[in-house]
Amino acid sequence: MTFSTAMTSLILKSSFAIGVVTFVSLFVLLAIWLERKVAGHMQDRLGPMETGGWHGWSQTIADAIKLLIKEDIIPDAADKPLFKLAPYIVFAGTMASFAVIPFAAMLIGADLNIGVYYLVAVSSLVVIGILMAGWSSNNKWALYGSMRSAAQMVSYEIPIGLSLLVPIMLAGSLSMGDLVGLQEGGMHHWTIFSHLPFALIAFVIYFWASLAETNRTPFDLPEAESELVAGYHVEYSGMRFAMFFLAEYCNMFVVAAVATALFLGGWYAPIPFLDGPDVGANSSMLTQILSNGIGFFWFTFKATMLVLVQMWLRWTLPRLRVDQLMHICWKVFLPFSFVNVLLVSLWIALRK
Amino acid sequence: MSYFNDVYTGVSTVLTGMWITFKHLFAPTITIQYPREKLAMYPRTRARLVNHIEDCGFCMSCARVCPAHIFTIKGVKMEPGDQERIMPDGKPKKMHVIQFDIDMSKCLYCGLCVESCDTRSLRWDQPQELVAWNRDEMFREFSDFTAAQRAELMAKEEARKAAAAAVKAAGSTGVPAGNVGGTVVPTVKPAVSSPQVIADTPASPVTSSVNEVKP
Repeated sequence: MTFSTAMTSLILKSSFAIGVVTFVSLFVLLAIWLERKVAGHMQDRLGPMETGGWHGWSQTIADAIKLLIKEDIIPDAADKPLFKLAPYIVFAGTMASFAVIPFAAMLIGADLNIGVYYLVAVSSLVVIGILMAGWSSNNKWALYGSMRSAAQMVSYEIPIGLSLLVPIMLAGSLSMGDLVGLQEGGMHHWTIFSHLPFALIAFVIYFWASLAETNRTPFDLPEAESELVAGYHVEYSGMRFAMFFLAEYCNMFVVAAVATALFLGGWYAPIPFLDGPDVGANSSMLTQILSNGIGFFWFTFKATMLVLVQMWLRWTLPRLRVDQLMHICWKVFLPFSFVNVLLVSLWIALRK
Repeated sequence: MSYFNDVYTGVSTVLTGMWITFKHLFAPTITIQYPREKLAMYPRTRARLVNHIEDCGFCMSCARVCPAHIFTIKGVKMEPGDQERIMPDGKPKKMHVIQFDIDMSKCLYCGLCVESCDTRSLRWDQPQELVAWNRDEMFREFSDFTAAQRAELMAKEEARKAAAAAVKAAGSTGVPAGNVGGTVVPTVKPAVSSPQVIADTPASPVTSSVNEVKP
């Protein structure tokens, strides 16, 4: 590889990274507004209505500006280096997952051959960040919150891993591109529908466990307002708090995107007719852009729908107790997903 | 088997809950966008006093019964033929109410004035906002006379009183009274169209004390 091609590739990759960050910020702005509107309407309220004119669309922007100009308070007794570092580790852990999210056939940051494995590994970095935040705050509520978070995230990694195994076994690959590519050609080829009922059970278990992974209701014990004030980020203010908030909503999108890629056909439309034009090796630039744009649309559409379901669940269900949380993880999700994996492997063995 | 029953219950109750919240997502909201939408107040709301001045007969019962002395009322006697109006209680109107001011900042909303009003001219109004930036805005004028008309009427009243005093003085000395006080006042503004005459500025206290009830 010559120097110039290396430079071109570097520029392409960094522009992709900038694009991802932009997309994520915009998505988070939208998602927070959407969450407040969904919350409002589910409680027969209206949600934000004033800021920006149309249904308070710029409420999140106003909130972000407010957080930017807030004082950045660091408690005296805090472990200062860890306290300062923690929000960025949480955010970086979440953003790193975007490297393997397949937005469209050619819009993958890096189509690693161990894509899913990388994703599961990197998203565990969030636990470390949260533990750091809780410990360094030197506050009992923060510490309780981060301990709970660590406990539930580590526990729920197992059903998540086992349910992600189902599409991986069916595709025989860990690469995101392969996993999505397998589901081409309409809804009945999507993993969730092509291998009923196993993939459906795996999807449901993955989705529920991912709620625990993102610390959202009904598994929001780490930030349980009625018990722990705000959980692990109780001492944070201003932009550092915003980082936690940003990471939470990014994480929602990441888990929804993984569910989309592995179970819901990724960038493929429900009906093949709605897919973009086929892209070959010698397609024109315009065809490639069109195809990838349509793929991007379908992918983000499905992922946003899943994020909406997460919000829906949040405003439906009450928070679980810690013992109920562990009961569901170890006594329900784990056996179900394990038997599921065994049955799928049996099916695959018999099919051969 | 209870394990599977529990799992089934868990899943089904979650779905039930989701269905309930889904229905509420599209249900009409109960929020009122307050500055733009307003709820009607209940008919018996005691919010603000309003005097329908054309029915006010200057009986002073409101001012007499008011524990907070919020009324400032002035009236002058009508000349014959001034205004042929029969009041709701069946009696003819006898007085021009040239000043009827209510200081709502002092009102304690007991409603005694409204109960005591024979002609039902003083009533409760149901506005949404009672807040004001300063006390002057709580001060409401109901008289439909302009300052010039008021001054004219008061001058006439003074003249009539002086004449009456003169007659009285003359009577004591045996001189017959002249035809004083019988002049017809040129058209006074007829009964007001809108009952809510709210002045922007507070009334400047008129120094003359013709039938004035001032706490």
